[in-house]
Amino acid sequence: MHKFVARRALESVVAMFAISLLVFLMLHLVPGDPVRAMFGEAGSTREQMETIRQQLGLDRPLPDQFVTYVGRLLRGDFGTSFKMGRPVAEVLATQLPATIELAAMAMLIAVLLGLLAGIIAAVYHNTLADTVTMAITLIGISVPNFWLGLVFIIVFSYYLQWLPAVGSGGMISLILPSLTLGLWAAGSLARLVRSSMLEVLNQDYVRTARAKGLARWVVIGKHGLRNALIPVVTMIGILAGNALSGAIIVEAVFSRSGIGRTLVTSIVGRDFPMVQGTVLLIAAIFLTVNLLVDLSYGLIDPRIKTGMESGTPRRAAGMGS
Amino acid sequence: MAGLVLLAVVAASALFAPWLSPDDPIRVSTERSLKPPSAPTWFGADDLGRDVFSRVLFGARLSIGYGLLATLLSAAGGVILGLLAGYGGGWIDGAIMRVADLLLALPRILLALAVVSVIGTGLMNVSLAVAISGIPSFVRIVRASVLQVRALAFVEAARSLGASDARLVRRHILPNVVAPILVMTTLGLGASIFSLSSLGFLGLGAQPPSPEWGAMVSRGRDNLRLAWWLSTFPGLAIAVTILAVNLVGDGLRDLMDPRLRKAGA
Repeated sequence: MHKFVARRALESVVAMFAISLLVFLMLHLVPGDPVRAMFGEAGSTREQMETIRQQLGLDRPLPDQFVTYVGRLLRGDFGTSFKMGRPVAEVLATQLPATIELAAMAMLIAVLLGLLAGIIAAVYHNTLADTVTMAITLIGISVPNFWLGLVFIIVFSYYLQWLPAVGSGGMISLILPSLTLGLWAAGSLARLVRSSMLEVLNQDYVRTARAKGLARWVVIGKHGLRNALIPVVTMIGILAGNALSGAIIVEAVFSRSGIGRTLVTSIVGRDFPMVQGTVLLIAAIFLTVNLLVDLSYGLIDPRIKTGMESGTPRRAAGMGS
Repeated sequence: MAGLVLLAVVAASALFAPWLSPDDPIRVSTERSLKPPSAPTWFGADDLGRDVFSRVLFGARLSIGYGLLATLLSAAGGVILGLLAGYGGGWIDGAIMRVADLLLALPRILLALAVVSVIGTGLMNVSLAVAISGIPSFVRIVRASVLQVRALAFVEAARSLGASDARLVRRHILPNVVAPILVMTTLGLGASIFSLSSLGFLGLGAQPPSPEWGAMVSRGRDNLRLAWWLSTFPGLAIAVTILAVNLVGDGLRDLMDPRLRKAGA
């Protein structure tokens, strides 16, 4: 088990290093002169641009620049935002809590609704409940989240006047954004829970459990759900990452502050240090969530723990992202 | 089946937009500014008095057209790299798959946003970004299929008859990996249209007065309290199109290869 944890952690560190290389290269892939792209033709004089180039270290050899870049990252120095004139790390630290709050709330909604709908659809397989649930989830995953958010605003804020349309702060203003973000994830989760449960519920040991007289819901919970959980947990990990990137859009819909808003504003303003920092942060969170998901397999299914000790963990097969 | 009908309707509206639409999609008409949906203007009019129905029809050309372009570019890139990895093997395979796996580990929209920040905004650049962000999943599918086909007896037979690598790939391998590529392309189209309209909504894609659906939803947001129809109809168009494409894609997948049933897009 320890060996597996160490190896997965090491893999994540290597991946993070590779991503920081890609993010570092972003600035150098900009067609033409990145400094000119940032400030436009008119805005600054030749000397000013030269100073900025030196500040960014763009006048030094590439490998040299990368070493400096990684060294700074390790010390938590993400550079300075051009547009805001503040350290990138500081801006991200103030924006992150709002995004985490939104994504966490959305995942809570997604897991509760997704599990419930998926289990109901599987248990009442081929009945009206199943068909209706699956139809709703199919529509749910086809509807773009930015549009769903606006429909919520029209219905709940303008027409019914129950909830505020925009802004951040307080639980009330969190309801519509997290529903918008959570329902999409709930849809894909419900579909997976259903197919995973159906597979398990057809197994012999489930029939045995029923035959020995266990109550229906005990069988569904203890024998069914527990065994159907591995692909579901993988999916929850993927969805948590998607919730984070979905927040980029949902924050724009509801005019909430957060790292998503920061990212979009920085892209439009060509504020490269800010873009690089935000992309790195989102990628790091994403990788960490995936690592935690992989490590949780052993807790859910003791059979995997034995597999891990021999060095080759069995991972849930056939998972899309 | 329902998917095919739906997709046919959507495709027809895009193709025949100039004949179907009652008005010029960018014609401004102040006297009907923010007119609610009614008989001549079915979907209402926007703040500049432009007919929303005509704009949605013409928007179909942009959203579906550029979505298709992005998907085909992803597919082309994915097929080339996937063939190189799967057929070439060795260090080429290692290098390509390392990068593909790394990029697959990131959310697609983040990848697209990162590319946009490098190459700049605008509809064409955004389509390119969506195309690039879609390549890794194609690479993985193509490589897996190539590995499967390469091991089959008829490929071995052709090789022992002295067929060149180019001939082997063209005549024996490519035709046998078309099915998964086709399925992936269909499902990828839904994802591309989604990404494209999301970036359009964020204001990074098409610029006004272009009736791209994502941009229309975003613009309608400014007058949402007064005019619900501005954002609702283009958004509905996106949803219906993605639903249609996904239904057709799922159908194709089940039809062509039941083994693919679990490897979602």
